[in-house]
Amino acid sequence: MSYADQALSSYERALGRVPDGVRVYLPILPVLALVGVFILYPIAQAIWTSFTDKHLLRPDEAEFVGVENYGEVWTNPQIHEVLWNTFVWVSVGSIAAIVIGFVLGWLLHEKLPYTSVASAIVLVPWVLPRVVGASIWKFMFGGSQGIINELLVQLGVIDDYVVMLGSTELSLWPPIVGMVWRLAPLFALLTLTSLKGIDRQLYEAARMDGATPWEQFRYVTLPMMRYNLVIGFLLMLIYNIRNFSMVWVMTRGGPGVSSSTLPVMIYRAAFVDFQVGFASALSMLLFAVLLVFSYYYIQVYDKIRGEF
Amino acid sequence: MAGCLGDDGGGDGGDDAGRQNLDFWVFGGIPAERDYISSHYQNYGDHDVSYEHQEWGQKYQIIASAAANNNLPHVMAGQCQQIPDYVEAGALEPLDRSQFQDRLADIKEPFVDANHQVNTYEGLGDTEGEHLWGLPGGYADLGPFVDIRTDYLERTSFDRPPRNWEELLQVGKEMQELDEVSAAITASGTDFGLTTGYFIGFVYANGGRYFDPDTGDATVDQPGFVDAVKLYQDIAEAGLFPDSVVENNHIDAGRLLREGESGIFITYSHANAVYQTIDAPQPFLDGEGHVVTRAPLPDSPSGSFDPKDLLLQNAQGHMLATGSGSDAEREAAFDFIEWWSDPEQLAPWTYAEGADVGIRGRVPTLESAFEDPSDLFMSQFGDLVTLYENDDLFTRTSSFPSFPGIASVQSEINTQVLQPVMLGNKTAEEACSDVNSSIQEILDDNL
Repeated sequence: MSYADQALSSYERALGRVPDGVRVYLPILPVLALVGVFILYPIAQAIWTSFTDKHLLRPDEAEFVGVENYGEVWTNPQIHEVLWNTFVWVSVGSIAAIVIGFVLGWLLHEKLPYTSVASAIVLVPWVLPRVVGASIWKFMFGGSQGIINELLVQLGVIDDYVVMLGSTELSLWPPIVGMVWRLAPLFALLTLTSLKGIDRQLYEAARMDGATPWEQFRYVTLPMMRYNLVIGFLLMLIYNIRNFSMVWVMTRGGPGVSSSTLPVMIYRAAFVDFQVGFASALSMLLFAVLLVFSYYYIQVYDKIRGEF
Repeated sequence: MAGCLGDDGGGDGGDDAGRQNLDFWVFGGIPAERDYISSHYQNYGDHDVSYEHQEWGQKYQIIASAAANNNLPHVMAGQCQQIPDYVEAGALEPLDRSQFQDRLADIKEPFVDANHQVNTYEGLGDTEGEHLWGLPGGYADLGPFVDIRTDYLERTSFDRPPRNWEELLQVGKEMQELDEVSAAITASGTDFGLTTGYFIGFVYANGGRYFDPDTGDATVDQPGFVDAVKLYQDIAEAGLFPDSVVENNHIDAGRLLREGESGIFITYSHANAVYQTIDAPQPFLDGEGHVVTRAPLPDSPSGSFDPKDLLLQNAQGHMLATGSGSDAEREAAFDFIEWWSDPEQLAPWTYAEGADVGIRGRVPTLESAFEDPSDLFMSQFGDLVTLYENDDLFTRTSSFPSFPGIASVQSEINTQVLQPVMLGNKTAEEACSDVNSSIQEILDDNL
């Protein structure tokens, strides 16, 4: 044995005997193990469960039923209303959060003094626990003594209290308002960060070329922010589509299923009806949609990394 | 080894060889109960007990997950209405095992017998015949009940609470005329177990059921059920429910009565416990200004089953969970349940002088509470004591409906029957007819 070999620890000598092609993967083994245990295994388990008739209270009696649960998803009498609600919830909630968040971010950047203090205040809805925020909105939207009804009556917008949470036509909208309130600050912060990152010389150059404020916004601000906007939008979509607490706390998905979204339906299937197999099939549907959003998110992210 | 020590250790005169470590879970309860239980269990000295309070709303998830992971406690205190589901999950053992038989008669003796009847089930899980699955604990929830503001009642043509459904509507209509009242009758309307829980007593009183126990056929579209829904429809059509009824849970509904917006609250016997959660003043909690009593009954029940005046469940009954790994542990768990079932430990629920710990809105399970009622019990539930003395309280009593899949059935009834009917979107006949097949599917999957 050479002096060099003797200087090596037993661990290093053992490592030296591992083929090079395998050795390079050793450092990532702990991470792989964690990802496997906490992410891949649960996903695989959910996929498997979706092909069984697993019942929450009789898990040991689960039997393989093939694609029966998936068939039930499409024949379920509530699924179409739930999917439509989810579409409205995600699209309206995300777009409104982005528009309001963008304006808020721009105001923080351009108009408001003490930006750091203002940013901290704006972030309060985001840092507040979700259930607390949802409970506050539920109370404010109350049809018998909610402050929003009182405010609208005082302003003369309505003559009498309007029941929103308990109305099959309106029940989805109060949770959307609550969701926008929660997400807009996050987008405002994204906007603020993006605006701060734009080189001021670009605006000076644009002004020298005679660009109006709108043209500066249209041809400098927006293009410079486009990826951040897209990433923010995708993040909003991903966050919104899997959000459960705002709807559950405010309306429990009702009346009927008038405000039920996909996560609420999954919860009901698993923990009210105890049909874990069916709930897993619904979860796979949600998972597929999230995969699509995530794919585009990664695409945009890679593009940004390529450009900068 | 533990079994040997446990079996012989009891008579060793201070020898700790037979001491066991017991896990004790309590689900739900109002703060005063939680405070009392969480400190009082420490007075039990025969074994070492670890107490854990569990979230009432998550009971199924907690128990199912604990059962799947073999992590159940030795003793649970919670809603005995869910016993079939808990047995289904493998979480409970019957209490009347042979080694406990000779002690059970003495343990059961101080309680109103109806409490034991509702905790006795036939053919649950792997067992055959009837078995006792729970002991009552300190109180029972009764339904259907109404709480009526006496200041409003005095201004109607009635000098007593309404006794039948027609009178209920009549009192409601007269109260609706009062300036302070925005909606005379308040009830829970969200998709929550209590919404159906408050309602189902009217169905049983009318001779209706969710299903026929002999055939397993859903009977939601039968007259006994439909006509009870029709009562809610009549209340809604008369404009007596608040516009916000389907967004109000039991607390919101109770708040409307407490604040004077409503005069009648359809509820359980636990109304005063509900008011405790909204900080009602103490005299109100003690019964001042309102009367909590059994709900009006139909004059001529239209259902085909036996009409039941009263539904009962022990919401903090003691159950022997399957956490015991040996006979010694099981024996110790039973000892602990026996200790809790002693009238001395349950005194706070009887409102006895000197034992008041702030609990309100609970109907005691101990017979002595009715035989020798305290002032505080009378001020809250005087009408019940009168019914008891007239031998008219526990005569036609049933347990609250209890079967595997009930949570799912309740949710279906809430969202597909009660909510549409209370909103005026469907008639009772339409709603019940539409939902009957889906109830049948749930029953087929679970029974």
